[in-house]
Amino acid sequence: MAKRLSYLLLVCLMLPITAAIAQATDTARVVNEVVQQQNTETGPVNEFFRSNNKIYVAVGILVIIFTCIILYLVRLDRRIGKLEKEN
Amino acid sequence: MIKVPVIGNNQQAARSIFFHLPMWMSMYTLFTISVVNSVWYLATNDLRRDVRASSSASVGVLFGVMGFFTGMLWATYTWGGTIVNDPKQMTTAIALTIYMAYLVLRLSFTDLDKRARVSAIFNVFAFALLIPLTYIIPRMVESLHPGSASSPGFSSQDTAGTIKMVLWPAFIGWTLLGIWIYTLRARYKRLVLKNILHG
Repeated sequence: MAKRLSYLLLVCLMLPITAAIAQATDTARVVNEVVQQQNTETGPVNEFFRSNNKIYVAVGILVIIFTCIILYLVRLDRRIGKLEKEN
Repeated sequence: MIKVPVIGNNQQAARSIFFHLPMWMSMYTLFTISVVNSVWYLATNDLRRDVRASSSASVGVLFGVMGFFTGMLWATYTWGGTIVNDPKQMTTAIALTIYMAYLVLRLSFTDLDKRARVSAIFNVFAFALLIPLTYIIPRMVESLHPGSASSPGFSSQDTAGTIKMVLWPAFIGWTLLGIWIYTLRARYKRLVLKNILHG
């Protein structure tokens, strides 16, 4: 389980690297264009994160951190539980 | 809630800095603990050092992944893309991949001493790459991250006083949380290897 999860994470991180290297272009210009385009984009998720001066971006970040820590601790808890059963 | 300067299209999302940055500080601390223990293991051949090195690297990766994901979300609504062509984001992804390779490398051994020795050497190389990749190279080129191509953001004049006032305690707090999770994991691993470590 741990092995499979590690491989999955490895692949997940390698994909953006290859994608980023593949598109070597003028960073600032491209980002400006995309930002401009996205600021006018609509869609429920996009509108939600941009509402109230983008405060929900900070909220989303807190949710990510909370979820990651809890998942890690739950995994550790399960392992300790397994150890307790063995003894 | 403190007042943060509103610059450009960052708006209130600027508050994300209070959570995004401490992740990296915590990660650096944990990886430093890890490499110190790895070198210590190579010097003494004490398996308990290897347990500490691998535990702190594992928790360091957790914090690195959290920092990366929070950065991805932040970038989506300020830079206009989840993965943009930012040197810091790219090099961080490379550095994190190296550390994940360390964890995967450890899983590929059955012999404890061999695993400890090879992964300790790998860890030293990983740390030697981490600092230039995430700290030096992004400062030499143009980046979307603030503080690039100049001195580090939090020690120069770039960061507003109110932000610093919250950031420093946040660094300490998150780093201590990281160290606490690392000690929990190290204690668990020591229990698993109890018979070998004290036998």
